[in-house]
Amino acid sequence: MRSNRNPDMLRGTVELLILTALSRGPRHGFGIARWLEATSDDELQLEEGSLYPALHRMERRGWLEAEWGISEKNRQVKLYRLTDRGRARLASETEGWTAFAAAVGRVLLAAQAA
Amino acid sequence: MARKPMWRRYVRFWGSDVRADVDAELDYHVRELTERLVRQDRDPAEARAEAERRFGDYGRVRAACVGIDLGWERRRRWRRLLADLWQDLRIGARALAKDRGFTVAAVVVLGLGLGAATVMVGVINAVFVRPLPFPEPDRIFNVVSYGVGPAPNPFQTPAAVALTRDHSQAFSALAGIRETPGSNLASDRGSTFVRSIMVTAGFFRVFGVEPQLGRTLVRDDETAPSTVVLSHALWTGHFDGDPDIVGQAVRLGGRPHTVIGVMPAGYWSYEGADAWTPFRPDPNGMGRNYQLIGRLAPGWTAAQAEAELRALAVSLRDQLPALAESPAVTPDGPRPGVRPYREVLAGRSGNLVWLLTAAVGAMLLIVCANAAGLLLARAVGRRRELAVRSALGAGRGRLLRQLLTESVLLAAAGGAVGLVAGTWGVRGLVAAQPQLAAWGVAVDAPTLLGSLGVALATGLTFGLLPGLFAARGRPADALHGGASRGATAVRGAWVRRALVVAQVALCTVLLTAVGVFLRTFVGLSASELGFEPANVLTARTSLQGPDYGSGAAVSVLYRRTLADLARVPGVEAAAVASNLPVERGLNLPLREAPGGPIAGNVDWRYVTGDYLRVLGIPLVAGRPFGEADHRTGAPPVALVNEEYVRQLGGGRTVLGTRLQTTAIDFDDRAREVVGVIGDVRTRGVTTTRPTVFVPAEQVPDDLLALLHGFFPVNWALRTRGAATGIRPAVERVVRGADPQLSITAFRSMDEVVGGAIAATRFRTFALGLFAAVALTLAAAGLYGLVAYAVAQRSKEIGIRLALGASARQVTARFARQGIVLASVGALLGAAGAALVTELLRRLSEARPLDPWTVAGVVLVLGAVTACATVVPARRAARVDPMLTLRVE
Repeated sequence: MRSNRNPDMLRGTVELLILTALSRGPRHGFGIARWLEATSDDELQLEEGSLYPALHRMERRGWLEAEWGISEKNRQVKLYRLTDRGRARLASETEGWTAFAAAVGRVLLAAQAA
Repeated sequence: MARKPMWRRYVRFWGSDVRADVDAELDYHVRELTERLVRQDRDPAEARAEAERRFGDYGRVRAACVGIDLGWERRRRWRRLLADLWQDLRIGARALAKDRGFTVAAVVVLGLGLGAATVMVGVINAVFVRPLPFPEPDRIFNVVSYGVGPAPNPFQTPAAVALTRDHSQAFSALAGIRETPGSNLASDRGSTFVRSIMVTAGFFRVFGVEPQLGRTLVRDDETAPSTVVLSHALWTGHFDGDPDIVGQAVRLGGRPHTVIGVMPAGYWSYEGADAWTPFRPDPNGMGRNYQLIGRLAPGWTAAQAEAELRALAVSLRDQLPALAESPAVTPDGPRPGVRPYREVLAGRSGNLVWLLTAAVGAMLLIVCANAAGLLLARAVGRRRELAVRSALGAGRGRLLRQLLTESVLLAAAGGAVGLVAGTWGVRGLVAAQPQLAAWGVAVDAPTLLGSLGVALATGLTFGLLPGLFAARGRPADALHGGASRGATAVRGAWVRRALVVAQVALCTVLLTAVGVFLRTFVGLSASELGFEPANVLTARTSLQGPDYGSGAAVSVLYRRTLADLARVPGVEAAAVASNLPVERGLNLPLREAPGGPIAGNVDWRYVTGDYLRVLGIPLVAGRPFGEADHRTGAPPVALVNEEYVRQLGGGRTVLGTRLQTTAIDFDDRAREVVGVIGDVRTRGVTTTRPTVFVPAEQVPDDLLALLHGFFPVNWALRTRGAATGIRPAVERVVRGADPQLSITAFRSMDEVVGGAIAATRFRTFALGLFAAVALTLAAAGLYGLVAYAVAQRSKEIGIRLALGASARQVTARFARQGIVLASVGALLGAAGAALVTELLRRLSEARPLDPWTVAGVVLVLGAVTACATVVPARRAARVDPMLTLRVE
């Protein structure tokens, strides 16, 4: 099957990924999983079920709003969308993550150069 | 945004189902994933397995989601509940604000009652409930004798102390105590007056308290040179907390003592003592005012201890022939018993506490009755409103919740007022009655919780019951018949009448009690006191100890100080007296004739020559003491008061007869009665006992030592006008005569009298306050009852007026109802008042009930009743008949 190289790193970033996934409009959990699959070229492997506790937690924190809707196949689905607080959270998390990744990258480069 | 489907809303309408929602959401994911894999040409069963694998642990995910959502749901539910409650409170507050008169009345009534309850709970908690600060305080007992008269109590003799301590098995620690009036303590830091008591070695073991410094008294101290244990307060005060205090020498009561220890700060000293010295029980000694206190040994009960003490008492009588003569020793022997230490302590302030508790309890009852009356009236008045709401579909539960909220609001407001009133009340009480401070009476957490409980209970009971009462019955009845005709309303009126009767009755009792106390001391004139208290300054000093154990030494001191004092500007006359008027003297048995049997007890005092002049006491017959009586070797003489002549004179003239008093193991000299003087109050301001006065220089040494052991002596000065600037002169004179003496407690004679009646005055004040509040409440109750009846029956009044009834007739009709109720209450109250005044007379120095008090109470009650009924009844006459008829 597909590789699953970095489960620990993923755990902390699931919330950031969800926020990003929802930044382009409301989606249900299944849609988020598909979006992650497509955008990461299958590189980010995670158990899809683990999205849900994160979604519920984020809803409770007020980052997301959920509503029951109807899918194209007329099935009841729970759609999540970002709230203003979620949007703000996404901005700050993205910034933090980028800074962190850049710092780690610099360290790795320096180590290789040495 | 996708709209909510309608059916979902209905699902939500009944409350969300967290588990179903999570299942729906997760199922959808697995199903979609499976279908997607099937579309990628996978075998359906295989696709399902693959989907489940990629989803992960379904059970764990579901549990996690359900957990998060349930927690969230719970919080939201709480918030909703709080929001509902807030809404109820707002509606309740609005309803109460609309009825402003009612609300203010109810809050004031509840507040007063709860304030009183706070005070009561505070006092009772401190005096009767809170454990004493000793380990196992319930095992500490005082040894007492039952059924003994004025004669010496065999268990209050030093011999009994020694015998019981040595032979009793029932107590793990047993100690004798001899209270003293206090003594002068002199150290290199100066001299001060301290309250000291004498105790035997086991004393501190009875209380189970260890010293902070040094040691406490041991058996050897009873025979070794004198030692003393200091209280923490004395150590930190007079000795500045000197860490090297143990071993230092001080003079106490003129004798050298060595400090052996200091008690810890929290130690709750017996009778507020500052110093404890060894009590040396002399097996052959007599006298009284010795107490025994002990801690029961493990396994012994109070009853077993009493049995053992009785057996000991019999052997005590056999060993001490002198005791066999004592009237206290019956053929069965003396009957010693034990009383719990707490009871003995509480007894000192117990009467007062019970009196106040009863008064406060009565007031609390009135308050509850009044609150109930107010709420009942309101509930009956609102019956229509409640019926309308009920008819409109409000459930019984919803209505009750509203009533409950209003009651809680009222109780909370009343409680807040009550806490403030109670805090002030407790402060005032402690300020007026400092002995309560020693008990630790204060507004503390248990007190506040207690009165909060009372507040809520009152509010709920008296708020909810009338509500239930009014809500009962079919709404149609209420809507149909008008508020006044339902059976409920009639029953409500009866309850209200009964409440008013009860209030007036309680009010009568309180007013009578106040009247009795007022009669006891208001207008207390010089003629009643028996002396002229104006312009008399007094001060006292302790002469305990060997320095002043002889008539000669005392004579020198008095001669010198009185001569010096007479020269102080502003002093008209000066005298020394062993005891002042309104304060007790030495209680001594009087023999029928010198050497004869005991005839009765007298109050025995010694005085110097100018005593009668200083205090303005009239001579009734014979002569006062003269210069010759104060000379050494002069023939023994005595003055007696008129009460002595009445009680002990036997109808014959007492002038020229001879009398002799005795202190059991030594007699006073036989004395010739040379004069009779006017009665002076001897104990407090209402009692005059048969009194014997003897010249100070003629007192035998034994009696002098006994008296100085019990009482400090008093200097009394008659001054010209206000005696300012005399105090320092007096201090100089006394210290000039003996630098070891410290003269303290400067008081005018008015203050001495004030002190004697302070307790009575305080009781009167407190009862007066209660009675005033009770009267106001009862008046409010009556007023409310009549006014309510008038308002309710305005239709009937209108018809009567239209048919030709005069305004006076209508007024009288309504006033009569109130007056009849008040009379019934007053009659019931009068019966209670008779009981209470008898009780008061036994508990305190109050006078018996007299016609003036009764007349006063009737007058006050009558006036208040008249106002409270006629004023609202007159409103009935102002009803416009046309208006009321038109409303129909």
